[in-house]
Amino acid sequence: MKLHSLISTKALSVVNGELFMPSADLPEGLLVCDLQSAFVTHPDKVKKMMAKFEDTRNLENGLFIFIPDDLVIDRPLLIHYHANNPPREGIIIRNLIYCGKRSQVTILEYFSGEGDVAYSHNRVTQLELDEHSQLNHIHHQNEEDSAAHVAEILVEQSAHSSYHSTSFSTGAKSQQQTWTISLLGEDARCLCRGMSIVNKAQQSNYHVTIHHEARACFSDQQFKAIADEKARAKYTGKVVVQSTGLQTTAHQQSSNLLLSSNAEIVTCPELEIYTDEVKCSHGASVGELDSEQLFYLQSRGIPTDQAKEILLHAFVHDHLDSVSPDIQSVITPIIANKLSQMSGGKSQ
Amino acid sequence: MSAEQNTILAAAVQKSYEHGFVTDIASDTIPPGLNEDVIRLISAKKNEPEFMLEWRLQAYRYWLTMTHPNWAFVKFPPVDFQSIAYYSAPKLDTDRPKSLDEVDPKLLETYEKLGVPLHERARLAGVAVDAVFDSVSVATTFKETLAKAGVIFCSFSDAVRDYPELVKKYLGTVVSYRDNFYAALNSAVFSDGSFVFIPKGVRCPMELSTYFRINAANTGQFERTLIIAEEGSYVSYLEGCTAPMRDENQLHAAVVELIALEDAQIKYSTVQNWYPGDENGKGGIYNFVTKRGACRGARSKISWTQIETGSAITWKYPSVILQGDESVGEFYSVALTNHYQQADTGTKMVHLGKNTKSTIISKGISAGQGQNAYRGLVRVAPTAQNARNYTQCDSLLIGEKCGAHTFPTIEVKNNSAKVEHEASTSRIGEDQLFYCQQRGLREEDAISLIVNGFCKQVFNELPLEFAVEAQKLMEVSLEGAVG
Amino acid sequence: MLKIENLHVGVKGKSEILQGINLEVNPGEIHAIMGPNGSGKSTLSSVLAGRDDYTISAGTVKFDNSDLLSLSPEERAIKGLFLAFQYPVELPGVNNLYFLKSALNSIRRARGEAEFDALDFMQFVKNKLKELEMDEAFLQRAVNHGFSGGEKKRNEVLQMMVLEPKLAILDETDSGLDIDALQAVAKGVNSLRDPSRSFIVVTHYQRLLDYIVPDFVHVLANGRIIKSGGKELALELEEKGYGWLVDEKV
Ligand SMILES: Nc1ncnc2c1ncn2[C@@H]1O[C@H](COP(=O)(O)OP(=O)(O)OP(=O)(O)O)[C@@H](O)[C@H]1O
Ligand SMILES: [Mg+2]
Repeated sequence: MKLHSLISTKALSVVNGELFMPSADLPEGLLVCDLQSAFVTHPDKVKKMMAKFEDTRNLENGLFIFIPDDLVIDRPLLIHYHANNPPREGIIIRNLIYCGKRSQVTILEYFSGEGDVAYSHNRVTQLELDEHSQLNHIHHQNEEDSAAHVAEILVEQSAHSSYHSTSFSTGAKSQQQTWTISLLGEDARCLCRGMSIVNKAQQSNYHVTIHHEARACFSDQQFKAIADEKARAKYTGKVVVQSTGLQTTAHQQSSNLLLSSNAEIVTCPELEIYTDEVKCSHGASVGELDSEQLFYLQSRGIPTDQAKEILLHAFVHDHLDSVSPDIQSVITPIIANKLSQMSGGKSQ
Repeated sequence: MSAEQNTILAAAVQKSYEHGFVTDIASDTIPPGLNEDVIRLISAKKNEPEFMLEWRLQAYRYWLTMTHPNWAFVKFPPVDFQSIAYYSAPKLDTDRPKSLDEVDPKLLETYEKLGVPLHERARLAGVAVDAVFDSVSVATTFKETLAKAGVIFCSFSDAVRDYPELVKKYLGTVVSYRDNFYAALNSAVFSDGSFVFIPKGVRCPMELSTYFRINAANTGQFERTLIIAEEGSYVSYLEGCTAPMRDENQLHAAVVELIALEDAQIKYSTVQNWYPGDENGKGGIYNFVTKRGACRGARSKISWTQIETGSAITWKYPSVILQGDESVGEFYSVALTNHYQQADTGTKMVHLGKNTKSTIISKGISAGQGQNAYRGLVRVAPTAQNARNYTQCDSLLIGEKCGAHTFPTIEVKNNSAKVEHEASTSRIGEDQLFYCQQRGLREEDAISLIVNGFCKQVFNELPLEFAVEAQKLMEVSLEGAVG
Repeated sequence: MLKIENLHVGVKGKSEILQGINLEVNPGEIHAIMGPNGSGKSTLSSVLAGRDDYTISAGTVKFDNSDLLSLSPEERAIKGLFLAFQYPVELPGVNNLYFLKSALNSIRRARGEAEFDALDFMQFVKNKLKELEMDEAFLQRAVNHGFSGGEKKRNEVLQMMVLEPKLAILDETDSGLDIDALQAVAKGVNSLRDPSRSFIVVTHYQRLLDYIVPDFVHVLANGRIIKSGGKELALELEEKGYGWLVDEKV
């Protein structure tokens, strides 16, 4: 629990789906409010975005984040979603994020919980990136062990926009994240990374679809998973290139470490392509820690358990390294803590 | 591509399917329709023992409870199973030809035209052939030579009559009639096919091959192949397929079962050139096949090689169940779709035994409006200690209206496994084309050179005679593809 | 310090790579091992470092009078055995400085010595870098990841200088080095020379032995040491090749 404190002191907090209005410390120029207020302040934008994803559930809770044109902020916006003995039916959130033209923002969304009942965190997040905007979006799902986390994330990108997302999953008993990213304007770029670190009987499932609908777009999916004990990590990644998606470049990579003989990895990197002017590739690998590397570390005097931990850290390194230092500083300790529970060696 | 390139293509499109002729021969055909009586009739026509009929009926009853699958990446109107004739055989004066001399000269001529001479004196260098015409096997060559080595190579009907115990022991043990919709249908109505049995320790002295030919209209071909390789034996088997040009779609739903016991090796190669339909997508064969091998014994090996250039729709996944420790499964595939052809093909490698190894090399080429999907499954069971898989699947796209799709699934439940998968999809390299053209090659030749290079790894797996044939076939199938 | 007796080693697929090696290395000595490609030099080095892909069918190895073969790789490192790999392994994502510090502190901890703090360690490593004429930027890169062949070899020597082993085995550390690098490496090795420290230098080139002068030269061929001599033997080999020795033996 203490690990969260690093985040909660700096972040906007959303408890059981309800936004606690920030006292002041928001980056300037940025609008954040709850969905209800947004209906009043930005009715057109809100209705237009909501119309794109029909959800029959009662979605009144949620955030509206509006980033005006040309707003460039260095300081990341941190949002901490927390479940604190939430209602039985779970927490349901609907978020809308709009990035104005040429804006540049970094957002971290962190999920956690406490209390003794099993709860579910359920969210739909819609993002719209207008032309030339850049959004660096980091997720960290670190729910309580008993929780269920279900996320539906829909992203629409206009021309020349750039969306970088990095999603870490260390918590929850089971999590299901469905990402649908549509590259609608030319030269839109999307880099989508994910990292599941699961043990005990945790289940993590990422389902990512990227639609290339405009010319000269670029996408890259890099998903990794570490599964220990009886955990199961699944990744389905799909790239769909429509006939309008000329000069598409799309990559997918799924790399997985299985640390125990009871854990399971399932990976399905799929390509669906309807035109010929494309460059697509995917790769997948599943295996144990590399024995050559392990031997090298050991031969330098590093004990086996520590050597394994070093290699696990190295495995998550690219993903962690790709997020800004302020964010790294808050999530690295949590990930390190999770890795120290695994280390592979202990379960063998 | 440039306008000039388009003209070259347009000119080449005219090239037609050279096996598209029809043989005018009197045939004995059961009227279209399917019910238990039809199945009884097929079984009676073949003088089958009771167990076969029982098995067929079980399969049929099971099939009635099934619905047509729709998960594959192919589109076609619903098949009317009552409009298909399930049995068609050339009418023979006697019951069956006793020797090649008794085979109807028109049939011999047909195979001659197809480039598969059945006369032993004109034999295909060292290859024994079983020729299946519509529903029945019309001739098997080199029976005696093979018999000397102890190898049984005959039509499925002969096997049921002469070796009922073997058939009973192995039939349906790899592909049960409950496996899938078309496997159930095939089990109910299959008319013929090939049977191979290689006894313990025997290295089959020649390549075995079956040549399938659909001739009659409105007929479905449902054949079954069963190959059993006993301990320490080896066999290389090849099948080829052609059909006449007809405007209606015809159904071909075969089942192939391979069984490799300890230290046995089976190499199964297919050159599939069923009529693909015309350039507007009219006609062509629906090729819905279930092929599976079981590496039952330790250190056994099953290797599938397929060159799929024909058929309007190809839907098949030659697979290997790796049960024996240290057994090996391989799948090498080239699938080419041009015009309106569709292919959904790939493989399943199921690792159960220790130290099992599998390799998958799949090359898909899509041209015209062709749709080409690779679908694969690599499963490592908890028991498969130290399993290894390497998969490479590449797609080459020629023309902006074609499609290439890749759907691999990797499931690993053993942490000592090592599974690697690589795939790429790209347009035929402009710079490669340019380089070849700059060196004086015509564009068509340049393309075929590049495509051949792309498929090399797979061609290398084919027996030599067929590698050359496959290469030629690719050239013909690609004609009209550039654009 | 090191005593190998009648060592037989094989791998899956090749049962007898080493066919009865006998070798004794005393404190302060430098032994050079030369021999044709595939003769088993790296196999010997790896077995001494504790790689477990090999099966040892016979023989004993004593290090400081106690059994070496029963120890794990890290226990051997802690006892002071160091192997500079012929093909150093890349560790993407593992910071070089962090790696060096973990290794050194792990060894010091096991020996009951005080661990270095970050600052002291930095200073200590920087000095070593200077001796090897290596750029400090290497410390912030991932271990061997994307290093050129020569850079990897230098990095191996850097590790050796940081860990200060009792017995260092250099497996073709000179291959792929330019002249300056070769001299830097030799300087590094010579700076560690000490009456209580020994070296086994595996090499194909007598050139290295001009800089690191050996006390003994051994020729390993077909899994056996077929000839041993002084440093002149290296010169003779350079001139005549291995043919005469191998033939003589047959
Ligand atoms: N894991 C292995 N599997 C099969 N063969 C092996 C294995 N390791 C070593 N060998 C074989 O053992 C022999 C000795 O190899 P080793 O690497 O020790 O040679 P070397 O003397 O170091 O050669 P070089 O001078 O080329 O470095 C070679 O023939 C090699 O192919
Ligand atoms: Mg060597």
